[in-house]
Amino acid sequence: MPIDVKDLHYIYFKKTPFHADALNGVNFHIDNNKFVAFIGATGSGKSTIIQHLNGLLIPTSGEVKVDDFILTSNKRKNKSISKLRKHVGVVFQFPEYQLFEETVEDDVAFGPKNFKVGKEEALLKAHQALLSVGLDESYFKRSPFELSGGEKRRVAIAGILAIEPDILVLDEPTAGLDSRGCEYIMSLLKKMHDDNKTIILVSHDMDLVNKYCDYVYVVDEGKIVNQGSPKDVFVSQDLKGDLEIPKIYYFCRLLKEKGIDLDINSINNLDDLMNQIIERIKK
Amino acid sequence: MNSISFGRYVNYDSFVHKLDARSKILFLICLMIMIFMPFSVWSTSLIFSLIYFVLLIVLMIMSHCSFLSFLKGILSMWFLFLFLIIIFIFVPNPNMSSVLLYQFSDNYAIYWDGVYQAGYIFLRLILMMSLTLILTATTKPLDLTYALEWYMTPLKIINFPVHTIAMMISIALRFIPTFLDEAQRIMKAQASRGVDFSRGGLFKKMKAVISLIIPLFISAFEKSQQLSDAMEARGYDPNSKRSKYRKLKFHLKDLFSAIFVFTLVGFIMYLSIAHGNIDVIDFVFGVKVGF
Repeated sequence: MPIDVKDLHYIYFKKTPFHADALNGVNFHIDNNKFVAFIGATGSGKSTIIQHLNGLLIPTSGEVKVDDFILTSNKRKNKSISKLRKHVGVVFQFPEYQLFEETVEDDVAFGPKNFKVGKEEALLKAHQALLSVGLDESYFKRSPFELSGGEKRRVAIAGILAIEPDILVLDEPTAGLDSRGCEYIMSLLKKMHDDNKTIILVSHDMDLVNKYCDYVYVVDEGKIVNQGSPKDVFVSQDLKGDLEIPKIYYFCRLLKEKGIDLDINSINNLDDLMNQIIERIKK
Repeated sequence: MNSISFGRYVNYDSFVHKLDARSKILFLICLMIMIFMPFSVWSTSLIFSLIYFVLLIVLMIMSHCSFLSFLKGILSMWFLFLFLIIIFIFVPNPNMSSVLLYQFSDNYAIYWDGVYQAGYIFLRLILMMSLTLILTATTKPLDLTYALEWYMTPLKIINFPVHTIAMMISIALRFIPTFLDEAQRIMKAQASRGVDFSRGGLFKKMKAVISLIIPLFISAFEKSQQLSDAMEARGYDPNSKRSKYRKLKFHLKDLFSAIFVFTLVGFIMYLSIAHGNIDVIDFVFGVKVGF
């Protein structure tokens, strides 16, 4: 399902004293089966963009098109929002706060049930989703509130996965997790991506973005100010919006300052960096 | 919260905003007493109500309250008005001496007086409510709490925990917007899971509300635990004497407004008590109007 966003504007609290322009003309196109990240400073409008993708926010002006679904400021045309939500699953920041059922499996099955899936089938889907996030049968009947933070987050993500969306949107999925938890979630997303799903991510962790994403959008003051592959964005241009760059590129930069110039364009990950350094030492 | 409802604090820099919270509370009470001073002639009461309305509108303009949201607020009270009318018209009143509206049977009739009474009470309720909402729209909730604490200070003599209560109120007020935000966040998260909060039958709606309320409660408990830990970590002790960051101060404005309000209220009270049966129309124009 391709996503097409044209000249998207969004204003919070329009016509009130709290008026705030959140988005000022955002354009982008995301093809099928991409792994995309939106990065930018806090308050730059990333989360606002994301909430348009499944109709939680309606554009003030402009157009959001997901496959055949079109969202515009004209409210009467936006009838199929609940269908859209079946195809675009949004996982919010700290999703563990959305858990409410008595058992883990019921909570995960809540989503499919809302989309008119039968009870048995919903439970089946819930079990599949839970297994795919690495929670085995022993968790199914437990209360979601007695799990650890990382486990809760996985249950919450499973709650969206069980709906079987084609596009998975996540707002800071790794916030507040330890490095092992982060890697676990990201490898999970990688797996979803290999299963032909589109993954859209908002993140502040540039290392993870660099490692996993194919394409990066830099958002600043409600506009996309920069885009490209992670390497292009992090290496070639100066980064707007006070973002830090991934550690490996930062390390390269430090080396360069000390007079050791590596071929930065052929470095994509830690292994490349190590190999280049080893070669240098051998010489 | 996509619309600003009447009575929500909006930070303007008006005369009314700058008044001290304590004087505003006092004025509110005085003006409410004034509104409820009775006059026996109905046309007089009506004329005074009109005068109060004009004053109210002036006050609203002074304090930058939106007239539109005020009207919306009144319209949303139609049910109360209906209720009042039904009660006042159909409950028999032996003292009625006014024009007959409809004679049901020999010993049961309804009178125009009921309509008038219901309308008059409704008018006074609107006035009272609007005044209160102007107070909340122009005063920071925290300042209101401090003002209430100030008024309750004498109760300290009987060991009433004034400070603790004030702290509880101010914390509760402080967390209203936080919980609104939280509720909105959870609603969005559940909407992403296919919950429709506006449509569906009773059972579905109940389920939708449960999916909102349980997470909200859990986060409220967590937040209160965190807050109490944080307060304790910074040495908060409800029984010790504390200084204040924000001090309430009376200004010259408060004095002038006090003189105006007390004169007005005093005059109306004098009229009502000493000349309760005055007929303003007769007094000014020399014409008798009435049933």
